[in-house]
Amino acid sequence: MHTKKIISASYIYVDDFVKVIKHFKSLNRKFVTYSPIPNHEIEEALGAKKSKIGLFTLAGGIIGLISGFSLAGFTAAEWNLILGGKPPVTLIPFVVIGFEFTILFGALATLLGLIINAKLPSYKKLKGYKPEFSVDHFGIIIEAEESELATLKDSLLGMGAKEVTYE
Amino acid sequence: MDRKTFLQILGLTGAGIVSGCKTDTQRLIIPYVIPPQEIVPGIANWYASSCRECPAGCGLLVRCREGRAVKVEGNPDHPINQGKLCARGQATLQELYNPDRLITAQMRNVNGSFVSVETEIAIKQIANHIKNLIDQKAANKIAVLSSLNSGALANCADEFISSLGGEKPVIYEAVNYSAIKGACNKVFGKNIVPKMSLQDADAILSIGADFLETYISPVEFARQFAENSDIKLGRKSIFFYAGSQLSITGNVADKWIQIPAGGEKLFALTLLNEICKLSPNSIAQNFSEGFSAESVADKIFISPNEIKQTAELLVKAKRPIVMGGLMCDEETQIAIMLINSIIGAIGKTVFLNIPLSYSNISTDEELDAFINKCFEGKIDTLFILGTNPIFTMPKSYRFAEALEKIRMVVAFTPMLNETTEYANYVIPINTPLEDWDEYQPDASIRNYQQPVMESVFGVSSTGDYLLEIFKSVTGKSLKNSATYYDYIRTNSKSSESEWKQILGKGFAANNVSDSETIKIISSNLSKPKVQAMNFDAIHLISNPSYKYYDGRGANKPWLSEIPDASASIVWENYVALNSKFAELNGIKNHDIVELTTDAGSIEIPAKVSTDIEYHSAAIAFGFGHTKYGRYGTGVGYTPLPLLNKNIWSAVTIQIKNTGRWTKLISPSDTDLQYQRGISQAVLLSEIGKHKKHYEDLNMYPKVQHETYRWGMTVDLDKCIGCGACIAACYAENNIPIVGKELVSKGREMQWLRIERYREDEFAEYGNRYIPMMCQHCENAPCEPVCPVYAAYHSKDGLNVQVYNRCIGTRYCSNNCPYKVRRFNWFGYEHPHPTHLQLNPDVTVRDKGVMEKCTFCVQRIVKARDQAKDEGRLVRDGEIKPACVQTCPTNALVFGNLLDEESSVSKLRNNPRAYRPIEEYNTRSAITYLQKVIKDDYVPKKKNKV
Amino acid sequence: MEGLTYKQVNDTVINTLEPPRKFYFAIVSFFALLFAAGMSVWFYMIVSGLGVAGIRHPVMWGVFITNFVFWVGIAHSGTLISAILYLFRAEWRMSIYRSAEAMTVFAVATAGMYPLIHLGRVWVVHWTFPIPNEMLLWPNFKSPLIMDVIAISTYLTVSATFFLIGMIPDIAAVREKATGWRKKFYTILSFGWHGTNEQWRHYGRAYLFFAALATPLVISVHSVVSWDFALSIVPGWHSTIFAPYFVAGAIHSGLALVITLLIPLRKIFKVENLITIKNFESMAKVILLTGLIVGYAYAFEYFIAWYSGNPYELAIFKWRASGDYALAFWTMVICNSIVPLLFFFKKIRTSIVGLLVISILINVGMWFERYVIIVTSLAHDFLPAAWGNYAPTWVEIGISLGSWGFFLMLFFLFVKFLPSISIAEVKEILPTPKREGGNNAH
Repeated sequence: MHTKKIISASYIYVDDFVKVIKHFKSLNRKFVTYSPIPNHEIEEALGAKKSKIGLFTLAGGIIGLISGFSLAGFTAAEWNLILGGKPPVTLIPFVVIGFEFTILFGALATLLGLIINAKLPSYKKLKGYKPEFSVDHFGIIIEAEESELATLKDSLLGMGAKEVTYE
Repeated sequence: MDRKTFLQILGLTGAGIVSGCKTDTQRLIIPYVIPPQEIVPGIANWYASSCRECPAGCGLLVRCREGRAVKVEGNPDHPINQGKLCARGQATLQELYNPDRLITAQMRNVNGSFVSVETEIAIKQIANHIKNLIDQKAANKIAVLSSLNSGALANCADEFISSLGGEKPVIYEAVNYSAIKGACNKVFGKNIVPKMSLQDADAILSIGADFLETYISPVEFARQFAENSDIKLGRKSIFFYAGSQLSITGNVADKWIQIPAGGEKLFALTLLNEICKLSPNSIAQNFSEGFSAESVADKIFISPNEIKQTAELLVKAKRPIVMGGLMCDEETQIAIMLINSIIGAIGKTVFLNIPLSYSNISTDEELDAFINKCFEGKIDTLFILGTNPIFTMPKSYRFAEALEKIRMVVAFTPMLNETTEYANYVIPINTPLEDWDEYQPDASIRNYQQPVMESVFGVSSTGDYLLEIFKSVTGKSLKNSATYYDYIRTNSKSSESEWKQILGKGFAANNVSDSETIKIISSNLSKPKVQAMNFDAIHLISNPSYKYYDGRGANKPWLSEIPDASASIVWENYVALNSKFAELNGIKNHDIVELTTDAGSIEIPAKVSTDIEYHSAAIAFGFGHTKYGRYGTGVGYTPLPLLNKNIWSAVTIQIKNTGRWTKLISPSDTDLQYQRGISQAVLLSEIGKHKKHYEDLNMYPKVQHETYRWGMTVDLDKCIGCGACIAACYAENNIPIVGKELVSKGREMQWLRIERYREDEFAEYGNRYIPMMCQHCENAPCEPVCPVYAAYHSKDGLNVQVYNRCIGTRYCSNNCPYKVRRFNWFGYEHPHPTHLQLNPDVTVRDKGVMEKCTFCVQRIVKARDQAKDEGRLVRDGEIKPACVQTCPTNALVFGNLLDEESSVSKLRNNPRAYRPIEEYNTRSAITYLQKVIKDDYVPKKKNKV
Repeated sequence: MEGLTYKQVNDTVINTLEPPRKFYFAIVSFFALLFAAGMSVWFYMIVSGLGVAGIRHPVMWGVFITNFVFWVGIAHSGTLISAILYLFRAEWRMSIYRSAEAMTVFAVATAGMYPLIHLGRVWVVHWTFPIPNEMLLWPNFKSPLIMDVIAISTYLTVSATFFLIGMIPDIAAVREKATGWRKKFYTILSFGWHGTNEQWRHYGRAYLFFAALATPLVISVHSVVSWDFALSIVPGWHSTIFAPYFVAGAIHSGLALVITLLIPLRKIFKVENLITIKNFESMAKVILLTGLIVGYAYAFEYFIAWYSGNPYELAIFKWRASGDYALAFWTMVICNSIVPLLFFFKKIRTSIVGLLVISILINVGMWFERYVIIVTSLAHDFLPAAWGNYAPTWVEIGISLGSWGFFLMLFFLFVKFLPSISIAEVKEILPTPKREGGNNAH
């Protein structure tokens, strides 16, 4: 039985980091990357698709619009009170309610989408994560066999890693 | 008032009621509509009674709930007021529930201060005192000074004193018409104040007679006057006002002849002289010898033509009348009576066969005689019945000193006042609503009062006390009547059934002798003495306040908080000065001026206007009490120190600006309407012309009302600005009093206010009034802005305010173009026992909620439900909101706008109809009718409308 | 900002969160006390009735509603900077938007107190919430006030969420430096953010949509506030120009307050290298624009009043400029539309003193704008007999000071507990470190 190890390398230069990502993608190995900022080059290198959160927003917005108007409409119809010579149900003033609800529900749905997609909140300790990753280092974490550790380390350093550790 | 206290009162007074009405004597009283057994909680009982706020003697209906009087209204069957009532009449409830009324008798102890004693004991002590007098054969040292009570109480006092062996009671009223009485005596040999009537009068001349305010019988006159002006559009009834100040009465005149204060005599004599030229009369000729218009007119700063024109008017008229005000002395009144007889007013508008109760008032001579006797020590014991002479008698009478000469002064009064300061005993008595009484306003009618409720402070009536004293003095009861009720009962000389009827109706008619032909007796007409008056000096006249009368009304906060009609001042009075004069003498509004006469001097804030003649100054009498309960004391200023014997006659004054000033509080900052056409007037010839038309645009379909849409019309040609409607509204709708301080901060709570604007289009003087209350708009701007539906439009067209839903955003008030909504800035107090007056049908609003006029929705609902039960629609005129009900001139009309036949719908299509701020398309339910100005009497030719 | 490294940025910002000195506690507790005092005045008013304030018939709204509109206005710059400028990719927003957003959230919270304060019966305020009472009676959604309730609460929710979401990566950064209880605090607040590129992918998208939603919201909210007045028939209120006019005014005052707050902030925390004069200059330029819009609105109101031929409108506008409130009116005109014109001069819009003075003047002016609009229109409307002038009493003043205490207390707490400058986004605008191109920071 050989045990799996986690190897974690940190880079300070984006271009180095991009090279590394491309390299390991070509070997199609499984790995996780960390970066202190969102960065297009990295995203491209990872070749990830656009997030689907927009759909949540849209759904929320539509629900909001409908519920806004119907809330105003039905509650007014409940008692049928005449105000200032206007019939109980008058659409024009309800537009505002509809609009505000659209925004509110849209925003809340977006929040929901983020929580679901980005799997937040999650407080469990991540193996190989280094505090620098949130400061100024770009990090990559690869799962590796005991046997290949050395070679991997060399290649990572070779590609300009500032520091490579494993546990 | 919270639920608990209400229930307590219900229990308490309810018990009182069920056991008849007064606990001491089990006796039936007869309600106006419902038999007495039916005291059902929640159902109102109405009792007929009589108003005693002034001697006019209007009939009352008192509305009682759970044994408490909650509202008074005019008795529609009563010939004098025919259901109408003035502000003072409406406020009589605040006499009844005045928190400062006495509960027990007050006795002055050795160190001169009052101590409370059991009334019974006090009565005993008084009786003993009298016994001693009689034993000492000094019964003639007992005297009675009484306010004007004609009828039972007068007789009772009379017999009381005479059978004890004392002198005839002296009857004192500050507002008396002795001059008229004297004049009638001299001219016609009738020593009376005659009844006058404006019924169908087509030419009226008032020489300083404010017959819409306090003069003789104001409510009756106001009604009759309005009925005449009703036909203004067809037949013209003309009203000239000759006086120094443009009072409420003068304000409605077609022509104001500006004569200086004190010039009335010259005017009357000159007029008489001119009239004689038109219809000769030898006696009058002699009397007015040498007072030709040409010679006199410029002395009183008018043109001869004004007098000639007046003379012509009166002579031509079919039913003319000339009235002389309080300031006119006997000779002036003689001239006026002569005029009346020449122009044929006698028997048409002046009825010498019907003497008024005023005839019983003692003359000045009698009063002087009495006071002298006091000084001579011929009076040992004086009973003062209900009157307050110390407040109304000028120093020159030396009445205060006279009282100090008297060993024992017993004052019968509901509460302490200036006069009780000189009393040894003060006996608390019931107010008219709490007790039996009979009163005769004039020879043709007797009013009856029943105790409509348990005595609030558990005291008794003057009559009962007199009888009690008499009994314990003589051992036998006066006219063998054990109680005052029995006395009245016997006095009424009526059978049991008649008696029941009388009590039910509240009055009984007397038959009067038909007017025999009246002849002028020349013998005792001596030439009039006109002392040379220097009219270039300023003359002051004081006139009874239309709110306080002779001052007795000052303890009624409703009246104090109604802005005064001539300057919208609340809780205060002022000296009215001519603006030109003020300008020349560097006096501005609110400046405190010092007025000085040979009698004395006072300091008082000034109010300048063009409503007073250049050489004149005027102060409303009745303010400035030094002791009259929490509401009356220290309100305003009394001119008394300035005045001579007859407090109503003009006195020469010096005016000095003290350089200090005080803010006279008024709810409105301006009296201009900036051509906004809020209170409109129109020339008689131009009615219906230049009518603005507004296109009735609306995004939404018109509101459909079911069967009713309640609406009102206000005829500005009839509204005189008297404020009766406001007082009625206070009483009906539990509106709190906020006081001077809060009014100055714009916190007054009146649902109905009378806006006063200057008559700027037609004349440089005069006021234009417009009652402003919730307009119950169909497109009410206040409704949609409320976040919680607290304001909405009901199916019968009311703009409803739901108090317990209101959260107090106050947006409705901001958005109300008529600014008629009132906000409860605080939780307002209703000190005991004033809370007993609160109308159980109307919520008492808590702090933080908005309120406003409801068209007296409680009355609407009641009538509507009744109609429903009887399977019919509400009849036109069946519903009368409090303001409509009481309006003396019938200026307000209420009804269903959906019914084409209703009087309100008809008036809505009147050519004079308009609605303020109509262009904002609020579709208000209240329509105003323009005031009419007669073309021939446009004071200043400025014919723009 | 040239030549800064990620690390430097990181440390400078996080250093602002170091445990504070006594002086800080003094300030915070002072504002806390001020707030407490204001609240007790409010309590006094609730107990004794609104009469103790200066509001009266016919001026039923006064300083309370003035403050409400003022604070809502303040709240607008935050979302403008964070959302609208984000969509426009304006780099100068990066270092200031965080504090601006914080200001927004706190300002809305402050504003939110006033509708409650001004109520006659605040204890039944729940009747304005969209819940039925026992008789199935709901609030009236036709009422501008309810529109307002909905709009303001939406705005508070959305801007607060936006604020917190935007902070997550920074909190994570702070977490890595913090120790002890602070560590726990930030760990929880960071939602366990670690900056994996998977997270970044969704995060970026979500942030974009928040911005996209917040943008129309910020415009709508102040329009709705303006309709509180415009939907009435009161002369001086009933005007179609109000919505744009109020929005411009809101941004005008909001940006001004941002400047007023940031100038001392950057000094105290020595972050001049992050919040540069360039940021202020850009804000000054926007203020210049809004100032012109506001000035135009003032002028246009008069034109309409004259052109409509409505006597009431005409009267009210004449009276504003010449009547009892003329002083307030001219303060408003000068501070809001004349003084900002000085920003035409580069010297002034780049001088700290000039910026500070003008920004304060603008806020004074903007407060008076609302005061003039609300009070004068009510004081002199249709019926002259019902006219009456208004002046605040100590109650209104006390409560107003209290609300300032509340706002500043929150803001001071914020700068010590949360990164008042966005670390991640400042990093973003730094040139990305590359071996090629010699961008060699190490």
